[in-house]
Amino acid sequence: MNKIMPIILTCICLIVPVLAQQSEQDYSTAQSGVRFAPLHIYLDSGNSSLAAYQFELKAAAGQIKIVGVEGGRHEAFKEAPYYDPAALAKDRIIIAAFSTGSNLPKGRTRIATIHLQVAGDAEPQYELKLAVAGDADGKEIPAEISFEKGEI
Amino acid sequence: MKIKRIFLILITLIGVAFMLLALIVPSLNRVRQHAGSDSISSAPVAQTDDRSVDIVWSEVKEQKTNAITGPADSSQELPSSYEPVQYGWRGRDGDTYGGGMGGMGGYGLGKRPASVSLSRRRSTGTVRYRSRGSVPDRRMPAELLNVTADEVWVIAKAETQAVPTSEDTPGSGAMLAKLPEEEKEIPLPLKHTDVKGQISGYIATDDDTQQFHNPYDEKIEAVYVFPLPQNAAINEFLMTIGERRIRGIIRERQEAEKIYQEARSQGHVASLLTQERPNIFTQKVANIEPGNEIDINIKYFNTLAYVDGWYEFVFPMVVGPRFNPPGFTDGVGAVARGKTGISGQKTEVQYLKPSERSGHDISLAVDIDAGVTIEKLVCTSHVITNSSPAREKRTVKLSSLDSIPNKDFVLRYKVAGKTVKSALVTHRDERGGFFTLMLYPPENLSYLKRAPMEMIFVLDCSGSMSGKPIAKAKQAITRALKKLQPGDTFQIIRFSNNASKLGPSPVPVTPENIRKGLAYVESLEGSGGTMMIEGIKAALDFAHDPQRFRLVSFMTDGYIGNESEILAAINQRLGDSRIFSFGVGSSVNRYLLDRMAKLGKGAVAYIGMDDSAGQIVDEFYDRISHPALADVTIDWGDMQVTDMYPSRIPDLFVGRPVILTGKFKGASSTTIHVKGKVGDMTQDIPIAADLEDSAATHAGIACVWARKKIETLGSQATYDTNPDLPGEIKQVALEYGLMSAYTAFIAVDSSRKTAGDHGMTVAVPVPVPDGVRYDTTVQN
Amino acid sequence: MRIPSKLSADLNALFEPRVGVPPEVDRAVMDRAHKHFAALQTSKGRRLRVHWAWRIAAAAAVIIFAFSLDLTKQTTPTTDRFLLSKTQAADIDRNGRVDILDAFKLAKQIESAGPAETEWDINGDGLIDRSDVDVVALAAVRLDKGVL
Repeated sequence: MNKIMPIILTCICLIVPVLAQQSEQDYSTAQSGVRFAPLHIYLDSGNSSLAAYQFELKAAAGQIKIVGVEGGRHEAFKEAPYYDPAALAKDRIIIAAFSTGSNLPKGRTRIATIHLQVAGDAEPQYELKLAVAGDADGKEIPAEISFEKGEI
Repeated sequence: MKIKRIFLILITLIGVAFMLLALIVPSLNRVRQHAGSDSISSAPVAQTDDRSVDIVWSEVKEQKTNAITGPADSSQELPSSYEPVQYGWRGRDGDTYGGGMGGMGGYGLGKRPASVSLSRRRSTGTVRYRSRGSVPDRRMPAELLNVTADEVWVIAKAETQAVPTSEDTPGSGAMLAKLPEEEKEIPLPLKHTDVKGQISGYIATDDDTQQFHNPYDEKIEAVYVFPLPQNAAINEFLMTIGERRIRGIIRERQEAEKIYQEARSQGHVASLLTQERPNIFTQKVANIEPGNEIDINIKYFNTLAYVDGWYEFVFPMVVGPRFNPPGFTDGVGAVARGKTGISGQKTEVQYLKPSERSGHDISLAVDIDAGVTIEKLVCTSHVITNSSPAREKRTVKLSSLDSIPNKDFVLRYKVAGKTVKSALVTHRDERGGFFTLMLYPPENLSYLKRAPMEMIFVLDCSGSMSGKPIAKAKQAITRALKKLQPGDTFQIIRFSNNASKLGPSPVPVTPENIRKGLAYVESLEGSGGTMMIEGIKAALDFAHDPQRFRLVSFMTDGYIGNESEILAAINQRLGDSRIFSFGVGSSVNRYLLDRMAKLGKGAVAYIGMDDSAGQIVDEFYDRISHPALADVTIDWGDMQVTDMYPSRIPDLFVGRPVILTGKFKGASSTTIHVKGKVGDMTQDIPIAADLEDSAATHAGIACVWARKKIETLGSQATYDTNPDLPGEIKQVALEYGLMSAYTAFIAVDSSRKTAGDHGMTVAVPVPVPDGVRYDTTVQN
Repeated sequence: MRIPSKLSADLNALFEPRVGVPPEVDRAVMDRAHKHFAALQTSKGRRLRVHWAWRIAAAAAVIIFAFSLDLTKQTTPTTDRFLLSKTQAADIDRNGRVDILDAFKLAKQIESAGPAETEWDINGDGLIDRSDVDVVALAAVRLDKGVL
């Protein structure tokens, strides 16, 4: 035993610094277990001009916190949308915006980006439900909502 | 065998030590990075004389410091077509409604066109230094000193000199050799602040934009400690990165701070807004890359003070240097630029030396819709321009000649009407009914006999009062002494490091005693610390004369960091006394002075450097020498009022209304009865309350109530150890989306990570307030 | 010195001679004693286990009850949420629900300066303007008034 101990200790002393160096690179993420990722929300209104939208976002799995709400890419929805701050304590949130301008998007367009803090290793699952989409006349139009997890 | 054993033990010990080192050293590195101790402004040279330090500093930092942006020519204006990012409402064409919280703009104003911003943009360039002789004199020309109150006060200020510009050169040394006596421009991450105010009735809505940029060649974190009105309810926060606008989220403070630290360490651009005091906030912006600009937009609203027919709009621009008693670590430290941490306080403000100047300037515009004709408009603090689109409207703009943020902007305007009636303003939404009631006392009370008074004057003689402030304060006390009447008594107390008084007890008003009092006041000077607690003890810890009405007048700039201790001491010792606080200076601690007056059931007045102390004292003491209505109670009729603030209705003084706010459930019209004592008689003042009157509503009332509740609970927390108070404050703040001591705004751009570590932390230094001496107030 | 014989006899009478215990008897007695004490321990242990078991069970019941109360949950807001009579007025397009299209339509009406209905003054300030649009939009995104 006395002969083996120093060998074991020597091996440990050699391995640990290597591991420590590796862990330092991923320190922030690994140590705290949190990361930040955007969730881009897209709406495809087809041939109709999109003037208004409202959707609900819910985390079906995973631990997420909303840390920012951003508008979309198109000029019509560039401003940060409406949301209810009291909803942040719960795991669902309704987001909506509209534009009365003449320059409105058609087809698939990014309408909002939700900036999220994600905790834990489990990949969060989201539920996204479109409540309503409207055209320039205020009429409801069919539209398809989807999301993309942003890459960093 | 023995040797072998010793050898084995040694090997084992060495191995364990090596293992521990391998684990600890990386952790130490991470701690050092997180602490951000690499301040860009710390110079690794010995402090010899300023000149040699600066030259050496420039040599050392040559490789690190970026070119400094200099001030553009003051005549430069943005083209009239320029329209800043208007959050939400843009005007007639192509409106984008992304109101988020809904915004607070445009309440009751109907439609308004897109406004043109006159905010200046700085062109970049290399700093040039000039001899002191070429720096314009900023003193007021003599011919403008005697402007009457009927005119708009225009205090001529010298135009700021344009600095020659050249292309921005990141990475090159920006600190050139400094000649003695020259002002040195300091690179700052904060280049401009734009303020837009909207006043509707007595509620002001403000939209402030802070423009941060990185003039260095390394990534930085900018930290800026700044003031806002002490009753400001911040409800919106927006971070703009280029074309992108990210709305911040209100969260519990500790949670927000943790999110910010995580985002910062991972390289994300993030911003955090926290409250240190009700009137002091810290803005942090992490991972600003070299050459990049990030704008932070804050929206808030507050109620205006109304005194003797005049409304007062105040925008504070700089936090005054605070004194913190020995052993007190939860204060606000005042340190020289670059001397992070030397005060030992949780919050620090860094100050520029008098020979240093920053490129940070401010633009300010206020639109007033008083609802009634505006008779007069006065700004004694700054040069302004104003236009009048209608009799009840004014547009006021800060002149570009007076854009250095080293004193509070104070705008007063008088509205028509000899008597303002008590008024009820309501608002209903799905959260319930909210109201504010402005109680205005009867006008003519000259028939009331003035009660004999026991006047206690308490004068702050600390270092920050040295010079102009103490001169003003002495003028005020001198005037007040001369207004005392036979039958009154008085005492004069001074405090700085300790307290001392004119005599062992208040003396009767006689010509001889007044003469001695005047001589004593004249002998007082400002130096030393600000142990206000000693002044309070001296003023309140002796028996009250039951035959007299005791008034304790504090004359101070309020530059202390232990506000909670002072307020607790007043609450404990007040008894039957009344406290009247006079704020003396250009950037006084209004939060403290207002709270002292409220706790002390008194009133507050402010004496700026250019105000007439005598006039203010005359008006003040004429009004407060006898209360208009004391021991006030209210019968709310059918309103079913709950959650009213202040819960204890203060005395009403002529010319000084009391504003009450609360919640109600009633739906029909009713009559409110305000009862109180006028002299020896009981008065009943009926006020008709038409709860369906659409002209008497304001959508901001709900948040006014929430803000008042947070303020009341927060003040209570200074002397009440109830552990539920923080939770209650947090709950209201989160429900109404408001900033508080327990909530904070956080915004993170999660879509990209900046390269490298989180960079250096750069605190934004500020100038000492106008009239305050740097050498007696700032730790170096 | 020699003690008297009578004294010796009396002393002997006082102290009975030791009785020799055979080893097997000694073992038997010790075994009995061990068994006895072991039994005592068992019953004591059983009593102890029973004694603590019901205490633990009672504590667990209290804890489970406490968690079932969910005391850490945020209390309901202090504000009274009452249905404003004008909530229906926020349903601008009269489709039975308040959503963003109501805010949009109101905004379009305001922009076009078209005929306005008095009930569109949602916040009751005497004006039909962006403030009313904001109230409707915020009502649309509130969770307890949401359409989902």
